[in-house]
Amino acid sequence: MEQLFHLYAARIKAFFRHHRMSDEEAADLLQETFIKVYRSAGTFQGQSKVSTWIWTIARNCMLDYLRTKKSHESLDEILEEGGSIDAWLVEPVNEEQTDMKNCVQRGFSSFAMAFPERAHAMRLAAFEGWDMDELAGFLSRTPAATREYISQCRKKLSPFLEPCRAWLEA
Amino acid sequence: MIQNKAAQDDLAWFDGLSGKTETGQGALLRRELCEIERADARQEDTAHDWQRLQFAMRREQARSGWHVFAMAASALIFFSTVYMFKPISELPKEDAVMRGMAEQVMVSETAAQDAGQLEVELQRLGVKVFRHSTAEKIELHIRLTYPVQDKVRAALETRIIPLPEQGELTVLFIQSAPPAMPK
Repeated sequence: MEQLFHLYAARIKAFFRHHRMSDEEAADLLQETFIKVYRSAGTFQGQSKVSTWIWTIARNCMLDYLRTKKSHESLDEILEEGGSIDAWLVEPVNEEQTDMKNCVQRGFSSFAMAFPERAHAMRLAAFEGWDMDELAGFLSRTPAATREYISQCRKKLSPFLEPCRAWLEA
Repeated sequence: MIQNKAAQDDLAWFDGLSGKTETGQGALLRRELCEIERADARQEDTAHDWQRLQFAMRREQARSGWHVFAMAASALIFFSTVYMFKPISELPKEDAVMRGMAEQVMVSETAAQDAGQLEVELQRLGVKVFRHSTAEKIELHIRLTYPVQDKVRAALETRIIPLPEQGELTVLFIQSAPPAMPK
């Protein structure tokens, strides 16, 4: 349990924070996540990766919390989506930011502010090496809906990476 | 036709993003996202959270009785055995029997090296090993044939990897994370 905690806790806490949770809320949700991991360890069948299992528990804890906190809003409204992205779009890069790493990280940070749920799904797919089915499990979507979700992520990310186009296409 | 091409582009992009392929915009983005993920994790101090969790687990244990605790603990070890390579003398000793697909997690400071050594050793013994590398993990999918040769069994036992009773074995080598940055 200790190893699992040290492997995932910091990233899960950061995940909660990126969903606009306060320090206290993030700490409480982290506790709840690991208590659920501890309680449900006996029922874990090993049919999915440990990472998918833990992250799904973390996400569900957060959704349950948000549902009680904002019961009048739909799940999509709670999680993000909608509104103008213009407010989050990055300014064109200036001469001092003329390296690709800076440009991409800056663009993605702005994207993450506008679409935290999508940004985190992409980060997890990248970091954990999840395939489409594993990501679908985490998002509680069908594989087809997940393919559409990914397509939308790519489309929505595109304007944020526009200033980096020259590097990305090089 | 155009829709099909767009769907293929999306899939290729996702393959790069998830580390299945190493080229293209998806792969490039993946490298940056992994860095962001690591940097964010370093900002979080979870020492107090761990103490709090230990307290909560003791409370759970007292409430549920020892048998529930034992079941949960053994199941965690069963499906996700997390070992540090050092010190071996402190490693728990249990004879876990696994059926079907089994996944083992090995956390080490030299994950790539350890994975490489096991891969080469098993391949030398005629075992099919498929490697899949992600940001900080190397997955070895080991296709065992039964009965398992003594040398293969020894190679796994040396590394304290329990042998599944049947089926495939997946071993995840995870690079141990750098310590959290003080705030």
